[in-house]
Amino acid sequence: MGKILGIDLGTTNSAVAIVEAGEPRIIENAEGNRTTPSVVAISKTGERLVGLIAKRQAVTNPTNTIYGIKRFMGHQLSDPAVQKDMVIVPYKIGEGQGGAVSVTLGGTAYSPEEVSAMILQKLKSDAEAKIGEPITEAIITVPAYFDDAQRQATKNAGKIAGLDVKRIINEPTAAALAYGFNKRKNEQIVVYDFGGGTFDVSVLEVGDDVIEVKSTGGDSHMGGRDIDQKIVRWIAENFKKESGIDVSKDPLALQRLDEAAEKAKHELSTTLETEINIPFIASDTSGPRHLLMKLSRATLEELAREFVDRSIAITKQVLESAQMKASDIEEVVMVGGQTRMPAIQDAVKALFNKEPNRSINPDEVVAVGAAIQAGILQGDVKDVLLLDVIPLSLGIETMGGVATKLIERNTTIPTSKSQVFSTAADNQTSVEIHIVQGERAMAGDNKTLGRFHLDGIPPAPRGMPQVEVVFDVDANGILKVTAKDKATGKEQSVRIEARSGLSDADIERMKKDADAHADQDKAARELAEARNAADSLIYTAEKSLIDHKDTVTDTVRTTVQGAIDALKQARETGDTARIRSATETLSREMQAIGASAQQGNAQSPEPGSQPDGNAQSS
Amino acid sequence: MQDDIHDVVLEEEDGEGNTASLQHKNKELREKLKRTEAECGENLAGWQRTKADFVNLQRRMREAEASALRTGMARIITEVVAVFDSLEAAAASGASDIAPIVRQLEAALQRHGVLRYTPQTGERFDPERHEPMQVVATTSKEEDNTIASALQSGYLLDSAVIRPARVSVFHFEA
Repeated sequence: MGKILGIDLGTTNSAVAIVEAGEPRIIENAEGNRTTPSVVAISKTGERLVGLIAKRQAVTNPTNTIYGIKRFMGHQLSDPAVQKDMVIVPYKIGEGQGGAVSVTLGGTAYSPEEVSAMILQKLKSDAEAKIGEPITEAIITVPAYFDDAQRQATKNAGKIAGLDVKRIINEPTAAALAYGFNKRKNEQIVVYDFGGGTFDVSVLEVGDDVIEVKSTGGDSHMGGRDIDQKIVRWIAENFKKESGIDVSKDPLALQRLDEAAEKAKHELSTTLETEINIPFIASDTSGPRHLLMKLSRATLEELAREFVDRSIAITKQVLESAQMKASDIEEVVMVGGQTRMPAIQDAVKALFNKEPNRSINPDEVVAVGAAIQAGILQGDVKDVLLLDVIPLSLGIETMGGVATKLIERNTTIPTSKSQVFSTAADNQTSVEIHIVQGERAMAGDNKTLGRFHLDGIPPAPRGMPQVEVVFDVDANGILKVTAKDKATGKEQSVRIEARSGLSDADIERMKKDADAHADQDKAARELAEARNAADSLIYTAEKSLIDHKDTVTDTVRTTVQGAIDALKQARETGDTARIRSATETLSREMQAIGASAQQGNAQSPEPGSQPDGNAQSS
Repeated sequence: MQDDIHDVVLEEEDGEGNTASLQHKNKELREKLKRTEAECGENLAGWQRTKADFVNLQRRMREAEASALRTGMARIITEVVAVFDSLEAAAASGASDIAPIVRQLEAALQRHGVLRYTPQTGERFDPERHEPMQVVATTSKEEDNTIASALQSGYLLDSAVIRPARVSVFHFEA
């Protein structure tokens, strides 16, 4: 069976998502963008253009460029909303069959369904090209306030585009689905959607697997673009005050202002002040003029206030008509790019007294929700394949008490990982495998899950034996650790049951612990590593002195021995910097051994830098 | 399920098949069931592992992507920084001719597959490559929908438009 496409067919922009391997994913269009302008045009050469290109050429071709067609879907020409909108748009609105709206494009009358179908067709064929298979089914979202005629029109648009529309779902419902709130019981959810050109707010109630829209409201002509326009006007006015030059009549200058305004707006979501810098914006008798001014977040908020306040007032009305209080609401979901504005988040947070959900990209959350609904219909996610992740990292203790992670936390299970370790001392015949769980850098700070010994390793110099350690976590979270001496094939293993008695609270505490101790852990780890490097070098230095005892001069011997002793002393101080510097000194002095033993007998290089001894990735 | 099989009551069949052969058959079936169940478990485990591997791979890919992006950015920035050096040197020496620096920047971008293009007057307007800032009235029908002037250059990255050229376009008005 083919994939079902989730489509957010928006007034200004549309987005498409699909469920792949149980995960929703936004599909980029042919131009490589994650959203597509909902604009259709017939160029002067008779070509049909959809999306960004159509939007781009609108200036030269305003009467044959259709945008905002969604406002006319399923409407009669006589509807008051249509009468209001038709005077604003530059394209021609006429009467179609049975009093319906029709628009003129390239001299031909089209129904709004047909125009929407052109957008859907592009979305469909771009998605097909991206995923490499034909798509015949879709779920399309519509505003919660859409009536039956409007929903039917949307469905027909899909049909014309060659899509079997399996379901029409509400945009706020899709947003709630994206956050998985359909699995909740008896919860009230508010979806606050501040888009580019429209504002919608809905109150939803989640019952038994059904999401019901309790009330909805909004302003179909208020959006982020209004705020952009206000910033542009603010910049232009200030520039005029400063320079006496009016740039509002210069289209290129306006375009540059518009870009700068949008950039400034985005930047002020994370910073408190931004600089608007447009060199050579205009020129007068005194020569070229540059535009340079500062815009603070406070000023932006002042400019945006009327829109934010209005959205909050509408939200309150919608709550009222659902006969609810702000405190009745369990979750608030943010939709639309404009909700990235901190002032909006703060206003919504203040109203509901809770942190709104905004972890999913607000431009994409509706399409993602539609894809999830599609996934549910498809039955894509089999229960047995709903896989868990391990909450905390798993690893073993290595030289110097360092916790070496084999499986990182949040890894999806079942999984297995192996790494080869070695011995820390000469002729070591047994290694202890100390299995630890947690995020701390030192093994002692993590939780011990188990220990065992692997004996019978043939005597060999340190670093030579190869012990392969395999961690295997099965689908139920049961960990099996096996250690195997590669030389003899001897192996030993242990099984550790899932969770090992850790409660969710324990896990949370351990994660927080790791964050809280991050600096301290880093220092401890660095010390351990410095010590390991020191041990390793002392070992090599002493071995070299013995190996080359016949060729090394007394002066060299004395200097090297002195450096060894100094390093041994430094090692005991626990001062990482001192250990490192003493290690460097010894390493430098050791070169003299090689130099004085000039015969081809040059000592065999120590195996790697071997910091924690021995770990080499398998 | 296994219990069901154990509970099967063996009925005497007419003619062929005595109890012994039926018991044999029963044993065979039980073994077959055991094998099938084991196989089924193995298949499920394999499927789960493949899926988990896929999910983990996806995550690693995302990390790799982010790091590749940083590496790519660093490469471009190194080039841009060299242009900055030139600008600083120009400012220090009081030079006003910036043409060499423009060439330097252009060459730097070219090395990374970026091509700058400036439309010519009279070129046919192409919304793929041109972004009109304004329309200019013309009385010549031939000039309709052609470039009146280029206001800003456009940029291609590996032949894909990353910023169309800003132009003014002739519009025929009788």
